[in-house]
Amino acid sequence: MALLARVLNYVAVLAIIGVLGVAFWHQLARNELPCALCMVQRAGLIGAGLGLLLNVRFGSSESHYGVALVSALVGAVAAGRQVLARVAPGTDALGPTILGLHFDTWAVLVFGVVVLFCAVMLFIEVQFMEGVRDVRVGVIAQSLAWFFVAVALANAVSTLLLCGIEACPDRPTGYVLPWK
Amino acid sequence: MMALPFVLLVGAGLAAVLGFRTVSIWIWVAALATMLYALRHHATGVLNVAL
Repeated sequence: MALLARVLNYVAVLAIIGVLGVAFWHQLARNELPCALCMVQRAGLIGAGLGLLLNVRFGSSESHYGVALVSALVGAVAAGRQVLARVAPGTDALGPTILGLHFDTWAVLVFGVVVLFCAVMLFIEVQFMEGVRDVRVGVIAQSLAWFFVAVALANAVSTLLLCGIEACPDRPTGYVLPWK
Repeated sequence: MMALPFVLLVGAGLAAVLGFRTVSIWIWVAALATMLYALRHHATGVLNVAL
């Protein structure tokens, strides 16, 4: 069961990288710039991925799941707030839809899945018996970790280009390129 | 300001990759604080909801 928990953490980190990749694809290929609340959601997703990555890197711990849970809850609040703003009378929707659902709705669902995943994983108590340790991780785990850091870095650069070093507008309309 | 959570999360990820677990979690705490600040700043924007 401990091995299963580890594999599931690998898969979850990969899934989070995939979701961030889809968001990036829409940003870069379709020029749909993320709104300020969308960026908070991305940060929440990266934070959730970090918690699960800690499980992969150091072995499972309740505090790692705590990192993922709290991050997912912050992201869910941001996404829920965006959904509420969209459904309120007199406001217009942000962005396109995927399979009939807006991005913010998908974000609520994804964060819900992360919370549910962590809650279910916490029932697998055998994974905590080995304790946290600085394991010498394999090539796959280390590659996954570096890939995750690269995705987080890409988001950081993207946000810097969109917002600069100041507060972001609610709806960015273009990149704040430093060489302009 | 909005980039700060991401920069901190990159730092937390790097710390994790390099084997500094506790440092990674503390950097994540800082990132969480900036995330909450950003959320508070932007959650009140569209409908002027008091938050």
